[in-house]
Amino acid sequence: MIAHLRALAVVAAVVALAPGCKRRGCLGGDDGSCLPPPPCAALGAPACALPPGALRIGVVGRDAWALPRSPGPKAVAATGDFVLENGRVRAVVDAPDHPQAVAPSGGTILDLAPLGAGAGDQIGSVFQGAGLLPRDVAKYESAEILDRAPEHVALVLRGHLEGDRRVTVVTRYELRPCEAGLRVRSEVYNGARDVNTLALTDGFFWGDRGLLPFVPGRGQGFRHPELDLLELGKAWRDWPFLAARAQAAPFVAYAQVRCDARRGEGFNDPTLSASGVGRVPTLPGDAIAFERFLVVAPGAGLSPAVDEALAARAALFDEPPPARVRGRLLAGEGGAPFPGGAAAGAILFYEPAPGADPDAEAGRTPWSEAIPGPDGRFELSLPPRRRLRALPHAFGRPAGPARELVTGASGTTTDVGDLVALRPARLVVTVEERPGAPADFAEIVLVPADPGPGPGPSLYGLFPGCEPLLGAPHGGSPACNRALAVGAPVELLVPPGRFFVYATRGPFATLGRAEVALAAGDDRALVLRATRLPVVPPGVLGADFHVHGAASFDSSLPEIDRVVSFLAAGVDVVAATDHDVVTDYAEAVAALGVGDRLVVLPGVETTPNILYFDVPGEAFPKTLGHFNFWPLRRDPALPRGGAPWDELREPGVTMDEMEARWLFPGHGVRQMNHAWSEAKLGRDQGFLRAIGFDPRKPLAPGASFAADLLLRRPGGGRRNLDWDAQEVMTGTSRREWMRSRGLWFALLSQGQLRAGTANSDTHSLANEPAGYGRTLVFAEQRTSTLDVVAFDDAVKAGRIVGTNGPFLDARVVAPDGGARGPSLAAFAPAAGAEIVVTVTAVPWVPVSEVRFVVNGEVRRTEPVPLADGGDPAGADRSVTVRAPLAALVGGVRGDAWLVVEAGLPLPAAADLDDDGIAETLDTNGDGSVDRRDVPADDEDDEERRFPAPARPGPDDARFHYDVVAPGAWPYAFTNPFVLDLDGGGWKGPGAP
Amino acid sequence: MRAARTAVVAWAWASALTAAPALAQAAAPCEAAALPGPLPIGPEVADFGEIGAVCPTDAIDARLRGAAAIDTPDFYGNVAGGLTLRGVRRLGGRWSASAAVDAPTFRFVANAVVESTGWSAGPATLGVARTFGGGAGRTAGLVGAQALLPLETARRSSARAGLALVAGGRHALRPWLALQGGLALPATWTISGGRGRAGLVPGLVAEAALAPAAAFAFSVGAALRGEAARAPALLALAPRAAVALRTRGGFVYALAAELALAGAARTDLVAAFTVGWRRF
Repeated sequence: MIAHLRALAVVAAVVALAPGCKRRGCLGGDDGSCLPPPPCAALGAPACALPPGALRIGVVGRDAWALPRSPGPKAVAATGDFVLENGRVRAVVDAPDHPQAVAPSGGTILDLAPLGAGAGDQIGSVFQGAGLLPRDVAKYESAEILDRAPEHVALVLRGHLEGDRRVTVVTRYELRPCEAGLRVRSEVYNGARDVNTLALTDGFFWGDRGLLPFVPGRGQGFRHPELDLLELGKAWRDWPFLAARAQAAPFVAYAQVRCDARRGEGFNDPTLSASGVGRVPTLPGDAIAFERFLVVAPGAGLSPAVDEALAARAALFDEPPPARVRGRLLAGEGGAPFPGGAAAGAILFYEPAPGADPDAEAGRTPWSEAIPGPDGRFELSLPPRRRLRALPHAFGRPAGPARELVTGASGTTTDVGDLVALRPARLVVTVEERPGAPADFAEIVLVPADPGPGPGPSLYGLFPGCEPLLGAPHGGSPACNRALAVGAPVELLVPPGRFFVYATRGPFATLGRAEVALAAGDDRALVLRATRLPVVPPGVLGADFHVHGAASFDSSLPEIDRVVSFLAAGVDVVAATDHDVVTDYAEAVAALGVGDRLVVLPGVETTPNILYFDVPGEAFPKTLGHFNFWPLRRDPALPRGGAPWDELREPGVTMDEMEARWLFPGHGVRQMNHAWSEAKLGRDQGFLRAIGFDPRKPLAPGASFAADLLLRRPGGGRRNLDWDAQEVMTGTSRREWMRSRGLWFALLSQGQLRAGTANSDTHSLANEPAGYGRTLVFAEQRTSTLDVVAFDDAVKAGRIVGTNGPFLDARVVAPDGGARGPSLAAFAPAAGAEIVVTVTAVPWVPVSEVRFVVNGEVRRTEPVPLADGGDPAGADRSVTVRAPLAALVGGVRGDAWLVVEAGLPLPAAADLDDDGIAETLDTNGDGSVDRRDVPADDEDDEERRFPAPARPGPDDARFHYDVVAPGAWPYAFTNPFVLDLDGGGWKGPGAP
Repeated sequence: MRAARTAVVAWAWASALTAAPALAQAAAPCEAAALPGPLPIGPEVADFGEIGAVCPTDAIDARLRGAAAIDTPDFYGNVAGGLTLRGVRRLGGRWSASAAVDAPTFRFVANAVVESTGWSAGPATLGVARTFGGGAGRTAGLVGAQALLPLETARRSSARAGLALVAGGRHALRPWLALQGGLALPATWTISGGRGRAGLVPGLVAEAALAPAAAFAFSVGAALRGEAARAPALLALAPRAAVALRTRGGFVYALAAELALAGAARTDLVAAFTVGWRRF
């Protein structure tokens, strides 16, 4: 009996200890030598004939590896990073000492691209984390190459969670021959004392305008629960796989399939997805493993990746392999093939919703999306023996009847025949400079002549606001309701309807316009004329110092389209300021042969994403950033193209770090961007807003937390306040501009003289059009011979005017005829001096007044008759206004600064929350701004408290302008005239 | 926050010691005491390393327990609750054996906004103890050993076993006042991924137990726990208090709580409500 009990006890002990005793990789913590086992073993070994050497792993810059950069704007492999290739895909994992974006170290998937013509990289980065705070992101410290070719190659990264070294993280990336992606296994060991929620996930930073995340799930697909970081649980879902597809070339799709469980968990948003293991308490001494297969597949739409994901799941979980479905999409019953890719033509496949409406978005379960080829044909994989519906989409809307289908058995192919989408019209637009002479670069914009009620088009519910939707909202031309023309007619597929068609070449050119009514199948040609006008005098260059292309994590716009958009808008100089990576658009400029007319200054926008900076009174930490720097040395072999990692540091430190990176040593411009912008998911907040700057409080030591922060030198060099230029106008947002204007004025009054710039912050063709606003630089320069240092010196000296349309020439003229324009250099005006202001605008840019602002106060407003709308094809018009300087500064004690503005009147705005910044307009139209203007259901809804101006009717003078630059409010401003009135040296009139 | 806690605890100590009742009861330490030793209030792990009654007798009890850690500056919190079942059997002479199991335990853990919940069962402990003294003397003692059985469903990739040595004592100063406490040396062996790690978390408990009536007692004291490791750490200095009510028939109802004032452990508050039966 005793013997039996003993035996039983031994067996029980063995069983009980078995989970821990089994030697499994690094689940016992990282001891420096453990190796996670090969992940996703159930996928098996794909049979393929691979040439010798095709499966390989190496370090960029060493041995035979030069810079194996995949095509595509997101590809950023740098020297020291790791490359894995298998003849089908290439993956780049950055070196541990190459931190980027939210990852505090390398070890993240930086590039993942199919090999082959036309394919490329679209992934920003894939990083590992176990929570939502910066402390929970994996920080890798070492890497180990495992070259087991021809069986597999692997890279093992070792590290820990950023905030706790006791919680170790070891990740194995493994590539097998011919597979369509990476096998990955991460192991997290909780060596801390406390139980914790370690939600081990891959983080995919899509960036809003990039890849579109998709998960099969009822009511989901491309639709996701609203992501509120404070209530994450409400957005948390599970799914069989996560997929994503590109909006622009190179067209590739991605998928993540969990290998160690049938469902992954996490959340999705166009900004960020996290997909991984479930949320369960992890005890001290316990561990988590997470295996997944990260797929990349070439081709448009989602189906290339979903095909691979379904096949992987069949191998992993003994699910029946998928069935194939093929068919053709026609433009109208019996019509021609609907060319895929154009007009956002696609077919969404889903299980029907229960109830009366099988197509109800909230109830259907999407599985994949096919984009037909040029012949209208499509073929894709779907779950077998499943009743599904196929719904054609075009122009951002369902475009035909849904077809019910039943998929066949595994491995079989079902031909569903022809699906029918609406028959589009074909519109060919030619833009002329003058009769018979095509315009070199132009932009075409369509708007409905009689917009209908109801929701407008969108990409499966995402990115509304494009009507008509001619292409993916953030893709290449045509995108949203715009298209680029490069010296040749542009062919567009357009939904039937009545439209105004515009051709624009920037605010200093006439506007081509026509109204067309298009029926299904119509084939029409239009010739529109847009002629450049001599609004801006020679020697003055229009510059946009804040722009983004697809190299930014939140843009998809191909580089070539990016450059064409500047040329079409008549921008002369651009600072390429992609997020966290130095770019210069050199390839596109060279390809277009426009180096003599468009100067691109390589630069960067530092865009921290890690919430780390504690501000008193704020519940959550902040990011401090959104500063632009140019011109910088670009070195593609360096991480981030040579930009420093900009996380976890104050602006002064970043400014110091840039000193060694200027293209011309000692010469560079530091610009603070959109100082009061809102936070999105905790980030992107303007610097002054993030630190709680109150423009009413003095910038003196001890005066406020913000003042102390601005005045300190965190890196020992520059103060946090030591930027050269401040973005006063950012894009077309009137709200942003009015707030930034107030902040700029406040700093000027405190004696902090900074150049005020106007920029577009453009991210796509339609999302903030290029050149609205722009900075006119009075540097007596030409693009073909630009002296960059002198040009930038003029910017820093404030010899600039910001505008989104009107041209403004303002000079203080002494009785002896001596004149000087705006600049940050103080001067004592001569007695009897007057200010002479000339406003010039094309007829479609309405201007009704000139304002003289002294020390932040509008001292005088002069009406000007340039707001009648007139003929958009007409010539520019000018008005000159004169005012005695003495009258403008009368009553001022001490010194003054004077800014001249021109445009439409400013709407009345009030600061109801007592933070020194106006945040409310007269939204109820009762003639006063008060609490009744605050939305009762959501006081923090800035869009409703300070709404963008609505588009007026077609007969209004502002209609044309709003079509070209939606939401913009015509406005130009000079930089200050710094007036030393008391002759004792200039002192800020509000300086302590 | 810590200062406020300190004030509350100081007040509790003072109240307890100045409110000494004049009721006389048996002076022997193990004579039918409602609180015959530090009341186990560990948040989980089946009383592993708890000293418990210095004068063991046949007993069974069920203990509802809860623990909370709220670390606001670090955006961390966890709440755990569960039921511990425990039985003690006198083996004859001065020996006794015990068994305890946590079943079930519920946990809510917030890593900032990433929250998780989970139910689990286990682990369990088996123990044996020998008492010294007692009887007509004023002092009683106990030494014992406990084995932590690796039966814990909350662990996914690991298993944990352990052995604890405990020593406790109780000295009756007055018929209504006793000092009691003890030392525990719980050693654990956690195996995860085939890699084992040892842990030793010595604990010291000291408290004064007051019995105003035969059926009622309360105690105040403090616990001190540390981590014996390459880098030793004070885990918790935690004042504790307990109150117990004994009824006819041997049923005992007890409430105990421990509030951490200092230390590296994040758990702030541990509380337990015990319902049991004891052979008196």
